[in-house]
Amino acid sequence: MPTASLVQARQVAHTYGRGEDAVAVLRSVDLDVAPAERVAITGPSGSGKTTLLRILAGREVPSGGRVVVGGIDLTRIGRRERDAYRREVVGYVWQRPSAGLLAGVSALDNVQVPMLATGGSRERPGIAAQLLEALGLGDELATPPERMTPAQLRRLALAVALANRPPLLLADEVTAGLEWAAGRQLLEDLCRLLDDLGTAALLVGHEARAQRYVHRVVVIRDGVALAGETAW
Amino acid sequence: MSLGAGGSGRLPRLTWTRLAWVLAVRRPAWAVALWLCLAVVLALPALLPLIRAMAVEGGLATTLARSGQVTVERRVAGSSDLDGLEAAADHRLAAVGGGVLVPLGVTVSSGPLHLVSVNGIPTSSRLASRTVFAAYLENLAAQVTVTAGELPPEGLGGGATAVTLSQAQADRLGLHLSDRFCLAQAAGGPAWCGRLVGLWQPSDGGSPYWKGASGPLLAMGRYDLFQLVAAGQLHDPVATVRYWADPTRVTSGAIPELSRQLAALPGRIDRGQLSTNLGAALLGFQAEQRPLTSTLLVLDTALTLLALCVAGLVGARFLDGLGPELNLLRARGWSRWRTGQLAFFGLGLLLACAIPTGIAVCGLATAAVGLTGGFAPPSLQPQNLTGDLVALAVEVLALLGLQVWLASRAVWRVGEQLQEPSAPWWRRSAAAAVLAPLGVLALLVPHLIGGLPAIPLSLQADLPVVPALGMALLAGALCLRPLAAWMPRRASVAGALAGWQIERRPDQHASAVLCLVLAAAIVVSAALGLAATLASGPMAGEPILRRGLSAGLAVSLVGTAILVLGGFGLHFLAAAGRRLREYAGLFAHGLSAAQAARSLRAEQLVTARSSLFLGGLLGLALAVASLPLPMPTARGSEMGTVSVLAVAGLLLAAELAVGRLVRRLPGPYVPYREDGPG
Repeated sequence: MPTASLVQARQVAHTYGRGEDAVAVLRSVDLDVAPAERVAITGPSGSGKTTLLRILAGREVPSGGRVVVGGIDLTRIGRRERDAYRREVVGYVWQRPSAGLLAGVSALDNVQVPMLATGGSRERPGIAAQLLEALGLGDELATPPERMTPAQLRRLALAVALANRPPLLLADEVTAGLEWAAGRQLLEDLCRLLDDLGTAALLVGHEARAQRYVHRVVVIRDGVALAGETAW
Repeated sequence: MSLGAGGSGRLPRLTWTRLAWVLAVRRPAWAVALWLCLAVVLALPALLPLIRAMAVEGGLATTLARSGQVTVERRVAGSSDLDGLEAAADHRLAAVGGGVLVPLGVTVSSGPLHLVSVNGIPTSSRLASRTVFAAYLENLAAQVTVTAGELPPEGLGGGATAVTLSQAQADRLGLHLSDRFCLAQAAGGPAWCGRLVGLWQPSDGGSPYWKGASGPLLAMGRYDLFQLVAAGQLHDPVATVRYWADPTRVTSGAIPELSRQLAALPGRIDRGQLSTNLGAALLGFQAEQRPLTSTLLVLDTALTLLALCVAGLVGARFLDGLGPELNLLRARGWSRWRTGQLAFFGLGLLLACAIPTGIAVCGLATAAVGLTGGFAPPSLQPQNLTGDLVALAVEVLALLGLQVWLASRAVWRVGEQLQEPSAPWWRRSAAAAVLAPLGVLALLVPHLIGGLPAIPLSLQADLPVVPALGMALLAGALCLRPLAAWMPRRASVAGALAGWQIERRPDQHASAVLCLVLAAAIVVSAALGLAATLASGPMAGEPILRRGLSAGLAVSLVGTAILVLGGFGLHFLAAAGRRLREYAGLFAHGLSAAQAARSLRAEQLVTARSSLFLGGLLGLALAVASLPLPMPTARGSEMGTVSVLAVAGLLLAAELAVGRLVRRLPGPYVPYREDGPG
């Protein structure tokens, strides 16, 4: 396993609101993720998992601490650099996968949408089709999200998040609501694809089954990263 | 697995255009609504100038048909004398107005003549008393249909003079084809004989060629006529060189210059007397058509502004619906510029679809107005077409600019904050305090400077635009006022909710208020104009101008109502959808669907009632201050009645629309955990 860090988070803190209404969600989180490493982040509801994910996705600026991903300091970049970071460095899968998909647009086109923003390429349809094939949606290229099963929706959301081959995938509750077998199959396909692409992943969730497919588990409780343990 | 580029040949490639189109038509009902709205927005402002053009062209053609003749008349001794007169007249008249006057031909006549005998038999005293003029009519063959015999060629010569008559005159004189008859210019004077070789009737009795024809004409060749003159059998022949103003070459804009040139013509040309009242008739026509032009210009300017406002309102609500998609793209790292481009592209594609539709709608509406009003279609002269195309291009550019602004605003909103904060009250009040006096000033501009001699005529023609702009400024000031004071009852849950919504963000309905105020102002001023036109008839001399004005006012009235009700209905639907989502928590705590619907209805009707009331007052002010029609100011009660009826009609339509839409709203929004990209 590579040792140089792709993600370096130091004493990350985040508070929502101000004054008496302020709620500290993250107090002090330290986290390192190596390239191509898969890390599960778990913890009770309200512990700050999703907030950490949103910070790493460049969608929130932490109230304190420092976050560097792929050499980019997320606490110091401007709006344009943040846009480019979200386009090229991270792929994000929402807890409700349909939130990250365009309804009424075919699966193939949905995967091509993130690629459009990174410049024109004649190979877009081929790359998108291969991604969907790798995630078991080879027969659903023309199917729009609203006509897919929950498991297919999650696979499509993953394909969209990986469309620009980001070095880091952030997935929130990627198997939530799926049957055990369907969730296991999804994780197996995902891990195979991540290994092929050399992409690191942070998988947030409550469920223990994801822990079999990651290199390490980080537990967050009351806004603090408690432990990092090797899952295997 | 390695993600390469294989096998992309047969797969559809997503392009900017396709993505923009897919997103734009993802909600087909809204896409169709925006498309139709843009089509009407393009068609309506173009309709009034076309109606004006039809009425003015029709009126001008009538005026020219009545008074378009210019003649030069004098006695001539012979053919060469006639040639000289023709050349002199042509030299002076051909250049008038850049070739506006077209020659109708020369007429030489002599008489009156009395019929002495027919086929050797002396005529009865009754027939002898009927007179006829011997005449040479140039271009006769092109103006008649021969019913019997033929028109003899020039210079036939020989025995009896070959003459032709109209069938009606032949019947009157009891003559038949091939009859030989003799005539004398005075009782007991020398007689000469002719033979009737042709009978004819005018192809078009209304043609200017027959205008001013002096009495029954016995037509013969030019050579024959002057032979008879030389023989002393015809005396004192009078030649008339006739010109006519061609309606296809005279435009209303050219009237002042044409009148000036006509007035500058000498009284005599080559000793011939010049006669015309064309210049005076044209100036009279111009004075008669000025109320039509100015009134329709005021309304067209106001209608254009309203159309742009409605396009902005509907476009903004359309983009509100695209918010989740734009938000998602921003969350995926699309820059504001790229996301805005995509939103603008979608709007632009719908606008591109609306352009041919708008042109078709305009064409159909023009044809319908033409048929019902009895107007001929407007002429497709290059200068008219260029003007129309420039106006269309300007409007499309304005719509594109508006769409750029809407797209960038939508992207700014979804990227950072879901709702823009309302401007503070002092800023709204300051803006209103600047806009209101400017608006009043602009409304009064025609009265303040319109009559000044220093103002050039071309500028005076465009002055009616200024009050319409003033009305828009005043509408802008009115839409900044707080609506909360208009809330009638707050005791009920629905009333309290509606009142709270209006107080929470006072300017959230500002765009709808602006549209409603402008619409009410246009409807009231158009209704007052229509009432004044029907009652007093400012252009009694030219009925077609009056019909044109009535048609333009009616189109303004109906078109405004359709446009604003469509826009307001769409705004209401979008606002209601947002409210239902906002009330999700209240539904969970027992708010009933009926209470929510009553609240939505109350919120929108407060907006509509207050806006229509104030807009009605604004329309009254516009009509009195700016419309160049004889308003029945002495009968204030009549004006008030018309205004109240117009506003009441619009309000009733708005209430019916809101009531109908409320019943079609979906059920309460079911709250569930949102974890979208917001």
